[in-house]
This record gives sequence, structure tokens and C-alpha cells, in this order.
Amino acid sequence: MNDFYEFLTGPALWAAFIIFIVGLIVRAIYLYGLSKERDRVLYNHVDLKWAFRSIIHWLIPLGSVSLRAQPVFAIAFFLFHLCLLGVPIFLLAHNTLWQEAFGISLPSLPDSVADVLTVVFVLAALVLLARRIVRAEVRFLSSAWDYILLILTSAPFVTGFLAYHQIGPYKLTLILHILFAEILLIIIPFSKLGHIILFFFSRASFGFEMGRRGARTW
Amino acid sequence: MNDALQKPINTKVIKELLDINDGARFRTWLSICASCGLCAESCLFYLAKNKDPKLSPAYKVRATLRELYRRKGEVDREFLEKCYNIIWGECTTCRRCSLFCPFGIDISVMIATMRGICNSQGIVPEGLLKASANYRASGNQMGMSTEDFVDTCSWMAEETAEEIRGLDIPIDKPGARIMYTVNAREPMYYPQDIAMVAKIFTVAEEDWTMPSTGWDSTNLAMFAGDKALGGQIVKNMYTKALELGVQAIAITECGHAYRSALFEGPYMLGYRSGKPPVPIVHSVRLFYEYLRDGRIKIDPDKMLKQPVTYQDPCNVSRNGGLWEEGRAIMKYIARDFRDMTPNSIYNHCCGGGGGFIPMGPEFRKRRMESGRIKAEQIKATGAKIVITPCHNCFDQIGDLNKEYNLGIKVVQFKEVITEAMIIPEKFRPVDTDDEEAQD
Repeated sequence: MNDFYEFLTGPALWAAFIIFIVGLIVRAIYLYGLSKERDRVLYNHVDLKWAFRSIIHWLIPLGSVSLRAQPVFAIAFFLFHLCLLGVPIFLLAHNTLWQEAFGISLPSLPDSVADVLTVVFVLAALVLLARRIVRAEVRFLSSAWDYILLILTSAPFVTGFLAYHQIGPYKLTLILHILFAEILLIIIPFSKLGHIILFFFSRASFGFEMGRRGARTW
Repeated sequence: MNDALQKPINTKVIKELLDINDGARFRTWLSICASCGLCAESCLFYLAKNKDPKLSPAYKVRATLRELYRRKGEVDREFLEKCYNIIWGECTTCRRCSLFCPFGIDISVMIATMRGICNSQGIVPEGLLKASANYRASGNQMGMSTEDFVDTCSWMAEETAEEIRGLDIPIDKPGARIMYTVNAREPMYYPQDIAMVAKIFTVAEEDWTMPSTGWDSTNLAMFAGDKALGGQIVKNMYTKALELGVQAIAITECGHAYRSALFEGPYMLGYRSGKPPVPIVHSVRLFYEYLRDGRIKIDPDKMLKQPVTYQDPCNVSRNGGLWEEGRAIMKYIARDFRDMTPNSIYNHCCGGGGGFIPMGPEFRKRRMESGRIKAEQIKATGAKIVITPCHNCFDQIGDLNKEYNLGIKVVQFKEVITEAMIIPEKFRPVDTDDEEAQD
């Protein structure tokens, strides 16, 4: 188990980060090249103002009409993303690791706050899961993959929470925490989770299309 | 559909079309859809049919284009027939879903692409094929000859000149400020529409002309997925405008004609710039400017007194950016204006868009079913008059009026403006008695 732990926190961690970052960059560059050749419409009507508006209205909570129509989901949806990005980056324990590995660290969240946010995240994920199951139109669109990705996204939070509070066998929960997080990082560039960056391109594209029509871009 | 159903599928052509469209946008859209289902509630077909999950926009693309990509174009006719029912029978390409999608995925573009693919196999609604044949033969959807069109204009000019002194319908006048284009249904069935607009132009002292060719700005080939013909139709209009040296092409009160002329025409023609060679202006914008600038004045006594509502055509408001202009006109002409809920950019398609009206009887039942949403919206306003600057909305709401006993009257802006505008002294007809006396 110790060897496996060493592997996960050593080469596997590096590999996961490299695949995550390089994967996303390669995907973005590939799509950019393709767009130059086949998506003239994207470049004929560029106006950053339109792109900005198109993006910002989907970043602010309840910024769009369809989210306002489903407020419980909308709030869960916002908190889910906020915690998903914020907690891993600003967690004190992770910052210590950043410090050890790269000699730099970011401002840290107090552990008590991170703890609450983790619980908030898990609750938000449960709302998303429940909605996926309860609402017929969402259930109908959902494949096994949609459920797997949602669970996989939540797994590092659940296991991290258990490890921090030393609930259950500490070593095992810690290993699972790292393992799930690494799997998630590796999957992001190759799945719908690529929207971590493609969201911005897709929204910008819609911004240009509607902007040229003098219409609302979000 | 037609005999083409019996012919084998040309997979090579399908593969080519899939490849041409396999760009960054489609790849992104097809791969990042998070299956969140937010698009479902935007769709009038979904709402009208008891929230059937199969009618969510995301599913419609998955069942058609995404599946086609997944199978790399290796599909049979049965599959394309299924697609036919979805892409023409369950979507009006109104683009409301894109406003509901967190990623702004443009479902309507993908549906339109799928129409092009079905078209390449001859799988197209009969009504659109007939119209396409007419465009090919005559340049307009009704198959009207140039002589008939010019005659209709002269006839309307003669008739109307009795009401407005100095009224003329100039044909092919070089250097006019605007070239006014119509929907071929106007000269064919509603010639008074041409007379009305001539009155408005005369009173506004507009420098305008009708073209003898390229006068039909509708583009049903665009709805049929026939890019080549769609481009040719737009080109007829652009060419004439350039030849006459006009400053702008004005589009009649028609939604998709505006979309075709200004936004999609340049792409159907493969223009690299993506822009038309001549500025395009919609009637709604033009009428709004006349009223704003006082070139047309409304007689307050003739303003509409009955409750009025406005049907935003998707291609004028949500996708054309003119929702405020439409409402600004209302302030001049209606005393009791009541907006529908939702309205403006979020307004529902009437159910007659995307080619539905000309697709004919085969689709009529579905059109009435999906139109229930619009009928309920209208009913809720309590309006007695529905104004809409679009021929398809006009027809659809007329049909809904009968189907759902709405007890309303459907009109276009030009009709209301013509009836309520003040005719300045210099345009009033010379009294016949005076003429006799002078004799």
C-alpha cells in the first residue's frame, strides 16, 4: 500500500497534471486549427464585447432565463462549480503540497470554511444527481457516462472529507482521494468536462453569431 | 416526401456533407452537451406535447446529426425518414433553445445542416420541393412571371393613385435609396400589400423602387436545406441591387426573408466576408424610423382602440435584433398594447416558422398542435388584434384563430399604419367636383 501511495503521489500525480493540462491545450489548439479552416463564421463577426456578455451572463448566478426558471437547480449548479474549482485550489493541505513541490503557494481557505464548502459541494452534487433522475427530460438524455462523471467528480470530495476527519481507515481514504482526483484530471480533457475551457469558446461563438444580428447574446 | 424514398442512399454524398461541416463548432457542441436538459423547456414542441422528453432540442440533434456522425454517414433510408420527421416536423429552427443552453449551443444550425443532408438524398417536404421548382423556373416561390409582377405593380399603382396623389410604384429605378423586395405571396394573393407600402413610401417621401427581378426576398430553399438554390435566390436580389446602385435592400414584413438576405445569404453564397454586398433593412426598422422622424404621422383618432398584442417573429426579434423597434411602433399606433408572456427575444415561435407553412397539408395537424402554445399566449393577453410583421406568423395565427376560436384579427404593420396615418394636403386627391368645375 505504501508503494502504491508513493506511486500515486509521485509519477502518477505528475502524469495526471500533465495529461490534464496538455490534453486541454491540445484539444483547444486542435479545435482552433479546425475552426480557422471550417468555421469562417467565427472570425467574420468578432467583437469581444459580445463574447464577454455572452459568457458573463452564464457565470453569474441566475444570470440567464433558463436558470431563473429552475432556481433550486441553478443555485446548486452555481455552488457545485464554485466549490469544485475553489476548494481544491485553495485548500490549506493542497497549498502545503504546492509549496513543497513548486515553492509557491496561494492564499488558503481556513480548514473550517473548506470543510463547510465540501459539504455544500456534496449537497449540490446530490441535487444535480436527484434532478438528473427525477426530471424526465434530463433522465431521458442521461447516459451511464453522465452519472459516472458526476459521481467521479464528487468522489475526491467525499474521500477527502473522510480522510481529513479520519473517518474510516485513513490510509485507504487518502489513497482513494488521490486516485479519484487523478482519474478525474485525466478524463477532463477527453470528455464533456472539457467544457472547463470549451465553455468559453462555445459561448463566445454564440456571442459573435447573435451579436452580428444585433440580438441578445445570452 | 416523394418517390426519392425508393432510391438507394448515396453514402458518399452524406459523408462529404458531414466532412464539410465537421468543424470546431460542431465538434465542440456535439461533445460538450452536458445533458442538463435546460433546452427542453424552451421548445414549443416539447411544451405543446405534454413535455415529451423526445422533443427536447438536445435529443433532436442526438437522434439525427450526432447519430449520423457516430455512424460515419452509414445509414439507411429508414433512418433518414426518422430524421425527416424530426428536423422538419419537430423544429422550426427558431433558436429559442440556444438562449436556454449554458453553452449557447446552436441547435438550429445543426438541424439546418441535417436538412441539407436529407435534401441531398431527395428527402424533403413536398411543399418545399414545389416552391424550389418555382424558384428555379422563375426566381420566386410562386412561379410568377416578370410581366405578371410588373403588371400587378402597375395595377396597384393605378388603383391607389386615386387615393394618394402622385403615388407611383417605380420599377427598376436606378440610384433609388431603397430597393423594396416582397414575399411572392403579396403580388400573387395580397396585391393590396404592395399598394399599402406604396402609400407609406409616398407619404414618407421615400426614394424607392421595386426591382423587376430578384423581387422575392423569401427563401424556402434555405428551409429545404438546398444551399445552392438558396444562394442563387439571394444572389438574384443582390445582383439587382448592385445593378440599380441602390443604397439598401428593404425587406417586406417577413421574418425569414430578413434572415436569408442579411445573415445566411452571404454564407449560402460562400462570401468570405459573411456580409451582404448591400445593406439590408427590415420593414420594422424602416417604419419605426419614419414614425420616429415624423415622416409618417399617425392621426390620434385613428389609433387602434381595441387591445393589441405583438407576435415577435423569431427572425425579426430574437434572431434579428428588432424587438424594441416593433414595440416602439406600437406606441404610435395602439392605445391598448398588451405584450404576450414570454415576449421579445424569448417569445415562442408561432409554430409556422422554419418552412412549416409552405410544407403544406402533410404537416398541418402538427402545426396546429404545436401552435397551441401560441394560441394560449394570445388568449391570455385578451387582445383582439394581433400584429405581426411576418407572413408565416400571419398565416399560422390566422389558422390558430380558427382552430382555437381566438376571436382575433391578424394584421401586419403596414395595414395599420396605412389606415391611421395622416395624409398631408399635397398627397390628398384633387376633388373630382373641382376638376369638373375647372373644366
